[in-house]
Amino acid sequence: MTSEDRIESLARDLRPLLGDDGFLLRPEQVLPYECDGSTAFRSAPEAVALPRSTGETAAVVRAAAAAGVPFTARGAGTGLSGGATPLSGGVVVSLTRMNRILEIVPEERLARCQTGVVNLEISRAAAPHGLFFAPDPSSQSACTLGGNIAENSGGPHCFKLGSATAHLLSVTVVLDDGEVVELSDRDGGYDLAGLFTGSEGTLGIATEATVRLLPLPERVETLLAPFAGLVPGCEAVSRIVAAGIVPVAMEMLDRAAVRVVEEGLGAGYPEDAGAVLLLELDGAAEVVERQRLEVEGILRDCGALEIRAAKDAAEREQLWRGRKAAFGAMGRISTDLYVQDGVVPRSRLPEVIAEVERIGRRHRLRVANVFHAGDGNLHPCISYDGRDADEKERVLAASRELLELAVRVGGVLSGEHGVGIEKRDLLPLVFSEDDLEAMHRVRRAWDPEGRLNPGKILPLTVGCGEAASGAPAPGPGKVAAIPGAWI
Amino acid sequence: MPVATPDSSGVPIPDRTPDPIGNATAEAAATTTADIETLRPTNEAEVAEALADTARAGRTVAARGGATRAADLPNAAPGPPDALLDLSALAGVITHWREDLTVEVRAGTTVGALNRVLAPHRQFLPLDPPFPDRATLGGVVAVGEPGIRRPPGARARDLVLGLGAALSDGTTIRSGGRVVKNVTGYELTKLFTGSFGTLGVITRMALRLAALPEAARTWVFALPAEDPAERFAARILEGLALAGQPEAAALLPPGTGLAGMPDGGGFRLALRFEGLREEADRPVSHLAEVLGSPPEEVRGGAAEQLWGGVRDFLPAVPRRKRTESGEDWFGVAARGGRAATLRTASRWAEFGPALAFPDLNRALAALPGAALPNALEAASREPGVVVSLDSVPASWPRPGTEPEAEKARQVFFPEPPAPARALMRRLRQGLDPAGALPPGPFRWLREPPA
Repeated sequence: MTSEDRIESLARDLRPLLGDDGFLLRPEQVLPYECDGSTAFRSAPEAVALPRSTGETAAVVRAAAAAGVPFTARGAGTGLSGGATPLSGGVVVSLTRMNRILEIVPEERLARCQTGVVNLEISRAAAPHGLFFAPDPSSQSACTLGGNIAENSGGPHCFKLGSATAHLLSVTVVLDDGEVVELSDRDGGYDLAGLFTGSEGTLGIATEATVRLLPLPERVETLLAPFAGLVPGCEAVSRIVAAGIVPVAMEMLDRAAVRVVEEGLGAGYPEDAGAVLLLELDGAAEVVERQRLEVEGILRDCGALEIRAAKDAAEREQLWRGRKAAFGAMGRISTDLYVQDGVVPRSRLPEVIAEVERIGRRHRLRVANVFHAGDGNLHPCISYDGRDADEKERVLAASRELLELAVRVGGVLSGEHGVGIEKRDLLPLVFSEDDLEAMHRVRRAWDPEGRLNPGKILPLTVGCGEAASGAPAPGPGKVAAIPGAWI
Repeated sequence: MPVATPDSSGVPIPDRTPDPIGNATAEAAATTTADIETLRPTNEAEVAEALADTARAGRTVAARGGATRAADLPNAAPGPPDALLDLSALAGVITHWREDLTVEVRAGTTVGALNRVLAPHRQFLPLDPPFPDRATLGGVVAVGEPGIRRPPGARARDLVLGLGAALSDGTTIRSGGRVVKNVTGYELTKLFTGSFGTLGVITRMALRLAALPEAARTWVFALPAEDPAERFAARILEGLALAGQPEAAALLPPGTGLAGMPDGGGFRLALRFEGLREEADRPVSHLAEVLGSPPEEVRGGAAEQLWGGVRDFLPAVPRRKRTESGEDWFGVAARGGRAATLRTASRWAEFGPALAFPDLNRALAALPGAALPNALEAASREPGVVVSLDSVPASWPRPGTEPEAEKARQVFFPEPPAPARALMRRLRQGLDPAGALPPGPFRWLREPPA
């Protein structure tokens, strides 16, 4: 049976269940699913299934498995590492029709949701109960809970509150053969929910989840402090943490990022500053007041040019708008944008940031920095024109150097965007062959046939299940571990 | 020596508290493992070599840290290993990245020893396993010790940034990293945390630290003894909603004789506020109204004793009861929703001292063997509550009671759903194909893969 025949047969089987608008085949229908937010990688699926329930998802997976067709789960497609790009074609299982909040239990501080629900909707629904859902990626008004689980998403507030994995209590997963299992932290045995979170759709498809909600803080203080440059700003961040103060967020933008944000939407950031630190404190009123005094002292000591505090919710939103919309604003100044996601130990931020600037200059690229300073999660943003082959080459070379830099100072390749396709072949920078072999064994325990989102996370090796499934060959050649890596 | 800080009220949990059971743990462990060959590797390569040798010989080997749990669980999983791997020589801090508040340690380092290294830098590991001066970090992570603090520092898994492990094929692997945010590769760190040494032997780990608090205060509220379970749970949750963010919240049982606990009949709610002075000094008068009792502050050494007793409750109290009564006492834990675990604790209190951590969704109890069926029945009235056995007498099962014991194992070491069990078996087969590492309390790992 040809691939086309197999897909036709799937359509015949699944359309009665999903409806005509629940199984898409026409090229113009499937083309929008050829990539996620990481547009450098494109590969169109042969079909798109849009189930409405766990049962329907299981039926899609069973049918695809029986037909020997690979499948890739997809939320809102906002991912930044190619995780939802169907590298081997096959079926994209889009969860956007599974967007119901099933239950909010205020006294237990939890919400049970279908995984296609948009992140921000959970907090909106929880707000009347004085609760909220903590993970807050920049894309939270669009990205889905399922995507957050798949990528172990963070966001500015995860510095204090933890990434998605810290807020997931249980998750219903459709396995590679269509079997449904609930992974819960209450069950005995291995922490399968912990292993599953961040596995980028390669171990199963999450269809429902119970997440922890947190009480809305009594008081929130949002401060904006411009500095002459990034180095004194990073110094302030280190000193605040060393003082035992845990702000709920500490975000830094460099001069280039501030200019782009101001040109794009005018958030009121001082354009002449070398760097801007956006810092938020939350908790009990008297505690926040004392922390604010301490923080302001440290900021001044480190050379803050001024300290601006949001007077009310509207001003706070205005200050955050600049940070949250930064990537979007950069998208407006060029045709393409490459966002890196390396993490470095916080204490190494000043030297790393200086080196990032040198790498950008050496490759003649426009690099703007927007990053989660509290946890050392860098987001160098490179604006470029993808139609310019030479410039694209330089972007790829620079991004490789940026990741090598992160590893060299004891950091890792990705803090919240995932490995996906983008960093797959760079994993040997941080992991040995034995480490990767152990990860391959873990993957095979879940998906021995290599049908779930093939070609992602792990470098392809001869003999592994994926190589047989027709996934593309690895990109760069042999990559060797970097001296200085923690691993 | 205890953790020294300039302000003794700022010590979060005392490093050494009066041990309610003396050296009972070490003695009990010695009696159960005296006849087993013990290997003492001195570095990671020797751990891997020992594992590979054992696997090649078709034997089984189990790692041992401070043996603080060894007395509790060996009889719960029939069949001792052929050999023990004593990791006490793999001790010490590898690197302390002070400014990053992270540390890398060898697995045999005790929690107490680590905190003594960190204290001069006003840092600590925000996890409170029982018997910190004997409990090794490798052991604490291998059993996934939940601790008594509220999230995000409540669970071992949230503090382990990365780890190194030796596998039974003789290889050593790394996962995670030493930075606080990381999605690079599969989360083998979380897979190994709480896996009871069934996948590999943890040799070292990178941990997230916290700054020592500037101050800490402990308040205790008496609760009306006559409350039925439903009202009891509702009252506590209402009180907690007003309490802001206590760093630890424990419902203390009557009749344990825990040192430092005010004497009296009923349950008490103990709250610890810590951090900056303002955080510790949060007013609590409004809580008194809801809870129907005036706040009583427990200070200094008494507070240290109280929280030390709470921390050590599960291993210590059943053992002490065994010694006092000569009967079999069991340590039992329940996990579930906040209200559900509070109601479970309230019902368990009829049978023995019961403790609950509402913010951590846990309840613990020390129960006489005869009460186990009733206790299970009480817990089964709460949907979503899962019960597990955490501490069993060394004499258990008594001769001739093996069938009952097997039944108890099945009830109290709850099996995950069938597809999850199958996944776990395949994971273990992938990482320990020789089956050199015993399944510990995970009975279902013994079954052949489906």
